Amino acid sequence: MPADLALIRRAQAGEPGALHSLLEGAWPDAYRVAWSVLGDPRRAEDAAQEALARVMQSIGSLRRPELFRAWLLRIVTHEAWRELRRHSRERPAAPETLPACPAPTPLAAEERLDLEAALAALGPAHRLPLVLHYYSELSSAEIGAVLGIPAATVRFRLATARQRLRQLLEGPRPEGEAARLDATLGGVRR
Amino acid sequence: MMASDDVLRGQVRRAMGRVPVPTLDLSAVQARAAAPRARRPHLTRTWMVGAAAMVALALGAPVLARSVPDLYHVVISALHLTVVAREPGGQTLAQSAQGFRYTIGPARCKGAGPCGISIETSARTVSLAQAERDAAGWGFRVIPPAGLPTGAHLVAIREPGPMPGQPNQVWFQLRTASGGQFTIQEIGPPHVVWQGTVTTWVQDGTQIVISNGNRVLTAAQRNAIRSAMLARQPVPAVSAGPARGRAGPIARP
Repeated sequence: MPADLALIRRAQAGEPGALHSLLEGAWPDAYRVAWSVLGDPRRAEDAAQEALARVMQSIGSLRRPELFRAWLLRIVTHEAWRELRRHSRERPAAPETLPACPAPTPLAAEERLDLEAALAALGPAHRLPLVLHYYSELSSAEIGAVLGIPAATVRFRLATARQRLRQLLEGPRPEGEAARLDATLGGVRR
Repeated sequence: MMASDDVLRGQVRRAMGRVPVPTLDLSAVQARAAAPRARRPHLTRTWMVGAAAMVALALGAPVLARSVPDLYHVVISALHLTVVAREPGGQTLAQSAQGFRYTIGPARCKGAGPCGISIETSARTVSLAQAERDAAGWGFRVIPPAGLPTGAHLVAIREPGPMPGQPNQVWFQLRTASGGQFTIQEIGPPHVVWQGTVTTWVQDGTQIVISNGNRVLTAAQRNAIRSAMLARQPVPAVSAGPARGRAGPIARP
C-alpha cells in the first residue's frame, strides 16, 4: 500500500505519531520482502526490524518522499542480503519451505503446495525480483535500483524465474532440460 | 498449458499474502535505531593500532619503558573495541551522557596478585574499584564469579531510555572464557539474579539481545536465552556462530 505523502512529510518533520504510523504501515511489506530473501521468520523479523530502524534514523534525509516505498524496499533488501550473507557463512543454505497457511484460501491444497514448493525452489536471487515485481509491483528499473543491478539484468532474471516457476508448477522436467536450466540459474545467481 | 503472466502474478501475490506477518515490535525497532551502528572493524583496528604506535614513538624510549604495561593495555583495548563493537541486530554498547562509549576492558593481571576487571571508555580506563563504584552508582553490583578466569570482563551500566518517557535502559556486557559461569545481581527490588554460561549479553529492559563478543548467536539461541532470563531460570549453554561483518552504507534515492 503506498504511503501517504503527507504522513511521510509529517514523519520527516519529526512528529513521533506520524513516524510510528508510517512504520506500522510499512511493516508487512518490509517483513514479507525480507522473508522472501531469507525464508526464515525469525531472521526475516530481525532484518525487517533493522531496516525500519534505519528508516527511523534516516527518514529526514529522504529528499523525494514520493520514492519512500522504493527507498524502504531498498533498505529492507540490503538488510536481508546482509543477513543472508552472514547466515551463509554460518552454515550452508538449506532449501526453505514456506510456512503453513493459517487461514483458508480459495486455492486448492495441491496448487498451494505446488506454488509454495516452486517459490521456495527458486532461490533468493530469482525469488526476490519475482516478489518485487508481482507482489510489490515495482518496474524492472525500480527493482534494478533496489537491488543495485541493471534493469536488463532484472528482466533476464525475471524471465528466468518465470520460466523456472512455470516448469516447476507444470510437473517434472526431462533430466537434460533440468540440468540445462540449473546451469543457467547457477550462472546468473548472485 | 503454460501459466500466463497474470496467473503467475495472482499466484505469487496470494502466496506472499499468506505469509504470516508478526506484530511490529516498535520498542525493538527504537532500540535498534538508538544503538550506534557497528563500525568498520578492520579500518578501526588499523587506525587505532597505528595511533597507538605513533603515541609510543612520540613518548620515546625512556617513557615507553615505564609505560609498557599501560601501552599494551591501550593497544589491546583498541583491538577489543573493534571486537565488541560488532553486535547482533544493531545493538551495541552503552554510551554515556558525556559521549563516552563504555566497553569492557581486558582483565589486568599484575604479578601474582588477583586479576582485576576494568571498565573502559573511549577516553579513559578506570580501575576495578572505580568500576565497582560506578556500577553501584548505576544501581548494580557486579559479582565476579568464583575462580574468575583470566580474561574475564564484566560491566553493568544503567542509562536513561532512548526516548522521552521510556524507562531507563540497563546494559550489561559480560565476557568470560567460553562456558564460564557468571552472576549479576541488581541492587534493590526485585533483586533479580541472572546466571548463565553465555559469554555476553545485553538487556535494555524490554528485550534482551545476547551476543558473544565477536561471535554471534542465532536468533533461536537468543530467544532461548531471553526466555530463560525472563523466566528467571538458568540460562542454557550455547555455542556461537562466526564473526559478523558490517553492512555498507544505506542507499538513498
